[in-house]
Amino acid sequence: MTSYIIRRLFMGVVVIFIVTVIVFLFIRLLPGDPLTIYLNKTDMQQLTEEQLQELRVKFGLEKSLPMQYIDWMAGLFKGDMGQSIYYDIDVRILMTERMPVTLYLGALAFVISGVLGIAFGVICALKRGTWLDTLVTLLANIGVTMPSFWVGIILIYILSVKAGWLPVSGYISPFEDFWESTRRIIMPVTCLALFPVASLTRLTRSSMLEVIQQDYIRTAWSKGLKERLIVSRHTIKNALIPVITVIGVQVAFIFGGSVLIESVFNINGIGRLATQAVQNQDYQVVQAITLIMAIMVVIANLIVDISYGWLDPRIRYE
Amino acid sequence: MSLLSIENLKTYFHTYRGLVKAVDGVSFNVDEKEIVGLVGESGCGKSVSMLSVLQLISSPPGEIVGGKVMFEGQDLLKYRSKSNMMNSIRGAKIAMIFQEPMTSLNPVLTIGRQLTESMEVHLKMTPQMARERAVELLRLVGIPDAKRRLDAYPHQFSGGMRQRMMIGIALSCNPKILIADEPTTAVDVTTQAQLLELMRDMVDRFNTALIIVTHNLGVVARYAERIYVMYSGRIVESGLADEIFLEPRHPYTIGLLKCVPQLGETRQERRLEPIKGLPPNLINMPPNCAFLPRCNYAIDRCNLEPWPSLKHVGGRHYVACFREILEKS
Amino acid sequence: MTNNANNNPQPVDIAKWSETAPRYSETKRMISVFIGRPLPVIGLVIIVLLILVAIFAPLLAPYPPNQMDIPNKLQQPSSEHWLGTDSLGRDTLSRIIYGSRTSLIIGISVMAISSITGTVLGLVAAYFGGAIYHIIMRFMDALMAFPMLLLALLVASLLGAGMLNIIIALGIGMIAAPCRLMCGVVMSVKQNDYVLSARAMGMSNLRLMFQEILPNAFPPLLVMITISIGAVILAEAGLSFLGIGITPPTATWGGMVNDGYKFITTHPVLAISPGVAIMLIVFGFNMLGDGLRDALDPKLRGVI
Repeated sequence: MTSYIIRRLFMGVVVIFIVTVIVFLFIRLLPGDPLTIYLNKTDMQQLTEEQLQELRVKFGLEKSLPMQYIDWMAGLFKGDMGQSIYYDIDVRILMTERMPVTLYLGALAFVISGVLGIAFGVICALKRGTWLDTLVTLLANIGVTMPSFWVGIILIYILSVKAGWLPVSGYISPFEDFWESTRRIIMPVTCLALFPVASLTRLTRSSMLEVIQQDYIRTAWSKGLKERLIVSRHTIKNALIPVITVIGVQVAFIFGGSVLIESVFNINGIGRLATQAVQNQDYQVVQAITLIMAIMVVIANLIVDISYGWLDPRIRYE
Repeated sequence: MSLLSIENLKTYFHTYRGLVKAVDGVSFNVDEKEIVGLVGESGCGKSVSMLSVLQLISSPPGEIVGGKVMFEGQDLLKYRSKSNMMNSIRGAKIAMIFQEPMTSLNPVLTIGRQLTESMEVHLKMTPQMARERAVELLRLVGIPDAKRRLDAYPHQFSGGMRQRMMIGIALSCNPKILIADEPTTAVDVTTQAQLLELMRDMVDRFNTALIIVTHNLGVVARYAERIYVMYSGRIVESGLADEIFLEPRHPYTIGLLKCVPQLGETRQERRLEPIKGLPPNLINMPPNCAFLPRCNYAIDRCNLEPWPSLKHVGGRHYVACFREILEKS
Repeated sequence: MTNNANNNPQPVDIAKWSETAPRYSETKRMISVFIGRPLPVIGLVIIVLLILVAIFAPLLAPYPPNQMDIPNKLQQPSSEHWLGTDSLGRDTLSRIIYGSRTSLIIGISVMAISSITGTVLGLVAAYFGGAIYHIIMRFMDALMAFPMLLLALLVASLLGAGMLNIIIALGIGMIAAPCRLMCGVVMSVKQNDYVLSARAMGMSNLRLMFQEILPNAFPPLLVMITISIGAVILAEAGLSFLGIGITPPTATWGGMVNDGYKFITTHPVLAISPGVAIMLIVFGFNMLGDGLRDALDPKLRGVI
């Protein structure tokens, strides 16, 4: 188990390294002068070639690509993610301000989707062929087709505009006013969780149905165990193995969804910040958000891989 | 009265190609402490008929459409598969060992967990007691270092060892009958012999009746007291082991015996004669004898009349064939 | 079972058996599984219809998609404008009809790019193994870590919006799945006994592997591509909704939802109707993919 964990950790570090390389190269290898990252175009035209060269040296752009990468990484380790051109402040300050909102909504959506998706999937598989299974499976099939931002708009139309039950948009920290905060996050969290719930339901259901057909489940029946025990002890743990592997994908999906949902509900998290930054040509901010989200997904995958060893002894003893 | 008697059991499968009559009117009985062999080619319905006894057929597509399974004066088919009654029979009174040792143990549970759970359920043992008995069982089935092995997982064991564990699990609650469904097919020959000896010793020690389901006549010859030969969903011949081996009457049985090699016999002394052709497709079968297309002894009547039923031909010997085949193979 | 008839001493009506044991071809079995349930067929019908709509958009649309008619802006649904008009007086139904083109073009071309690139990378990784395998696979792990929308935002922020850039961005985002799939298939084919034995006999193992790989890889690849097209269409809709995808005035369903959002209190149909179109097309591809999986996946054989 220890060697397994060490190997996974090593792989995680390698993947994070590649993630940083990808983000770095995206900016350096694309056409255009990297100086545009620091200056806007009009400023550049006014400068002489000598002044530009001076600036290049100042920003370390005269060095080779690997050296530039090392500089950039060294900066990252010191917490230097660059300067936001649009807001004219340190990107790190922007991030620490906006990150908690996205994480809070994302974590809620993640937990809800895990609990509901797995529960629905298990129930459907056990009640296979009944009206309940048919209904929930149909809803799950529809759920994975609905664009989350569109669901958000429809929820706003029904629950806020027509019924007037919930506030249209905005976000308040739960530490400020817990009830008002909860009222405001109901719709965004629902939208964020919708796709993960639906896809986890589908996946858990089919995984359960596959496990139910396995020989060892027949062995369990041949021992005279009650159905409840067979499900809880013999089936679910096996059925969850393929479900756990997609949790990293779900995290990535929820982060992607937050970009859309925070825009729909006017929530100032890093998702909305990313959109605004693209519109404002604020590269440094887009780069920082992409990097942070990707690293968090890698870490989530790492945790999944390690907990995988706990679920599946075959991996533990590999 | 027999311990277990199956009467006219029918198990059909509804597949997209049509109805498969996997078991079509099988009757069968087992006495206490008896060792019975059920022989036939793969796909002849021997496993399905045994799974039907414990109602372990997955439904859909399978369905037990008729017959009786009489055990201790009760017809088990009157109870639903998931009923308390069936749960109190399975594992406790009738236990089963399956063909594939690699897949019939749960990969994510420890050996100890899988050994003790039926004792906890049927014998109401505390986890402590069950664990102690599990160690004893593992020792009995010949697994060294039993105490430590309880916390191991199935993938750490070889196929033969897993099958030993399956035997231990099956006998843990002292069942009246042990059904071994091709228990040695998936392991190598030396292990096969060990497992069979172990099984015989164990049923002897526990006073358990044993049903060995196999396609291997050698296995049956050595261990079974009585034999049922099955073809295409039906019993075609049954009798004491001697009756079957010395005086086979059904062309299929004769064919089976002709294609079994004997040690010490050279090619000049006897040529092996394979049964020609393939077992029939079980979908939409005609009513005639299913062995007819492969039969060397067929007569006109075989073409004209439906499959004959079993006829008593002396001793405990029964055969389902229109021809009285008297000559020895 | 019938070819031994001549050896039989007794005449047996063999014809009866060959009749009763019909041989089912693999294709026939797949088709029967596929059309055995309604959802895959519904999915197929939806996709075929939408492709026809996209091809014949100019004939079907009552108005040109970008024809502005300011005096008639923000009309409620009527017999003239079935789904009303937007803030510039453009006919919503016509824009939805033309929007199918954008969705289909992006969905299909993104998957074409990513599955070709991914397949080649997967082949290379599995064939050479060793360091190359590890480098490619870790690279795929890293790619999978990026939320697709974020990757697209990053590309858009550098290259600007536009159809081609969106296709590149989403294409890169979708490489990992076909790459991993192909790699897995090749690795398992490589270990097959018959490949090893053929190699021992001196057959060109490259040719042999390709003969084996194609039939093994094609079914799962086809299923994956079909379902992924739905995911790509959803991602594109999201980008267009944010105003970062396809540039106006090209009709996109995501962009239309965004435009309609501003008038949700008075004209809900503007935002709701393009969303329904997105759902329909994604549902179509998902159901078709599910149906193909069940038909092509041998594991489900005989379960029906």
